[in-house]
Amino acid sequence: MSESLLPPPGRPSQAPPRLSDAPPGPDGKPRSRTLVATDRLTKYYRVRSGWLSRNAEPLRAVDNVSLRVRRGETMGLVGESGCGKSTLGRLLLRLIEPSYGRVVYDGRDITPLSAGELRPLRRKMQIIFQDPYSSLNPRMTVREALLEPIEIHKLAETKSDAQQMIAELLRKVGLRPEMMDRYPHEFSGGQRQRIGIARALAVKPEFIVCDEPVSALDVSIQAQIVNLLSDLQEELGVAYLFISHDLRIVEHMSHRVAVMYLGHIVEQGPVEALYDGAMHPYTRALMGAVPSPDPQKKRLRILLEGDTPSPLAPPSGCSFHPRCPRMIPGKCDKTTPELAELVPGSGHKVACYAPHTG
Amino acid sequence: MKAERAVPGTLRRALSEVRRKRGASVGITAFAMLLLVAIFADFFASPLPVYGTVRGHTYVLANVTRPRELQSMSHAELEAELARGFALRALVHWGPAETGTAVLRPPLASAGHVLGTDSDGRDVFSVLVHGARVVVSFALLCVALLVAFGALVGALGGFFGGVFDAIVARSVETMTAFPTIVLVLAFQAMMPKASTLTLLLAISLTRWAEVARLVRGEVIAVSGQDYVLAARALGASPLRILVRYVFPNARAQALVSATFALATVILVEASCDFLGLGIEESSPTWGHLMAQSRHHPGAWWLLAFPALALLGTVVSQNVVGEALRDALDPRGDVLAERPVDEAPEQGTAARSP
Repeated sequence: MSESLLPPPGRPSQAPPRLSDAPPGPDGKPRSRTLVATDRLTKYYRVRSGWLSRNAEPLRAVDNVSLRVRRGETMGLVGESGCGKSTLGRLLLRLIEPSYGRVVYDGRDITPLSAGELRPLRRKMQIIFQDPYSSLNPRMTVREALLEPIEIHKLAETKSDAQQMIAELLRKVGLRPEMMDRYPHEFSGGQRQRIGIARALAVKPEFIVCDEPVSALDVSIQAQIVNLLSDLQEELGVAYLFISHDLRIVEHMSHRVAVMYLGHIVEQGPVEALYDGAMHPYTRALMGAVPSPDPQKKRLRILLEGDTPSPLAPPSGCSFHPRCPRMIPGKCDKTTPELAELVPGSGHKVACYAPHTG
Repeated sequence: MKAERAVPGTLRRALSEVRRKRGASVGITAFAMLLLVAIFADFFASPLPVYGTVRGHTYVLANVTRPRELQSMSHAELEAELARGFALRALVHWGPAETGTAVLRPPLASAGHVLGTDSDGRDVFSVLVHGARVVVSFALLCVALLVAFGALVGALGGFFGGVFDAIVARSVETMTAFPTIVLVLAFQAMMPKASTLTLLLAISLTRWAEVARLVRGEVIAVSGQDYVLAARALGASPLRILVRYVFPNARAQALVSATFALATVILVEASCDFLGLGIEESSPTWGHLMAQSRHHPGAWWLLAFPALALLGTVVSQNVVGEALRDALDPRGDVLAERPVDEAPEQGTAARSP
């Protein structure tokens, strides 16, 4: 390659950054604040409606989701079971292929990349699972499990280097390095979850999808794992997509929160704005269901009627309208509201024709 | 000590559990005995001496090495020579192919023939013992072939899915719809020249489906586990995932189906011999012995002894297979699954469901 083809030193190869949006990274190179963004991401599953049936019903697991996760921040993702939270998390990592839409990682569209092209990017994004019992291979010792990322990405030159890295990883997640020759079944759920976190950290990722990382654990262990994740974020500057149905943990963990209902994001915003001034009727109902430790505090309980509709036959218009107390007939059941800011610049977006304001 | 620490559902753990079951250990012992008989058949029945002097020349392990000059001697000649000096002989002095003058003798009726003789004057005990060798080696070879093929096809189908998996699944269903023996006989009958090799292929071609079905199911179950997803998220290639995650977890299942396959193969092979479409007549097998009883209904010993041998073999293998399957069943391991100790910072509440 000739010299002239290389970008001149000291200047970024990309377009000059907008100052407000791009604080310099640790290496001095200007970086965009947005780490992961999705653009109208959609995942349909084909579900056969009957035996030998030719026309399959599409199940809209994730529908038209545009989401941004900033560097070093935690994006909480809440919603009830089956609303597509986990599917969205897996789509972000391209562990499942989207039907439509794009995933942009650090300014690069990763949707069309081949498995080989994606491999170097896999180092940057990792996942932590809900079930600590199925997330570790029962036939691999902790050492072997943690050696996998090191081998795949050739992170260590020698065996003793790898050894030291594994010991360091275990210490980082609060386990003793002496435990590395044990099998997963010799650990408790909380310990296994720590091993899963260590495995994700091995490649020094910038982004981790935490797929309900504490919902399978005892309450006392939940706090330890949540604190561990917070400490690691502070130390390593990693960004999380924190998927959970536990609103209190999401409030504790997140900088911003998105609320999902039937594959759509219905509300999204900074954690304080969302928890104190929820605008979407669904979000308000969810918040009302959180038990409060303060008996004096009045809880605004909104009881939703009916069940969540089947994602196989989502309602017309706003998918929440059949259960919504503020439904406007002729509008909410006809057209789908767009996710938009009510107050420009607030970052608080809602997809509703009759939002609660003030 | 080591076995206690072994991972639930693995072979090592399963074997240690199987050993503790009485029925299974009887089965293992029976199969081990069959193996010993097959390996040391020449010490159980051979006209040639283990140690002995014939015409001034001393032979050691002649029953195994089978020197040509001794084999060319007649049975009576050899007996006379060996009777002259000290000789260490096999348990029975008759080889499986040797035809004596005593024809169709019942057990103990004729000197030297403990279990009687067949219609050609062959010693029944000798045929049984050497038949074990033929049966065991044939069955092991056949099972190795069909397990390797079935496990590979099942694992690849279950792992990659798609059209290939659909073809695997449908052909497995088609194959298992027919009784093995019918397919094998049809295959053998279609062959221009049915031989041991065609029988090996016929049985392998019909029995692989069972192995493929079990392994495919196991692979599908393993592939859905989060740890496989985690490996993909780490950037592991499909080959690495297959070799590191899927195969080790499906290995135990393959062993169980191999144990059951061994019993079936032995049974099907004997049936084919009985029907005259199996191994060549020149090889001694239990099936051939039983086949003779069709023409000599009164000679019960031609039927009873090989049938008992067959029964013992098949039952022992099924017992071992079932014990292995139970031991590998992860649902049986729930109670055994306890963490060794807790991290100091986690206290006693650390064990979660």
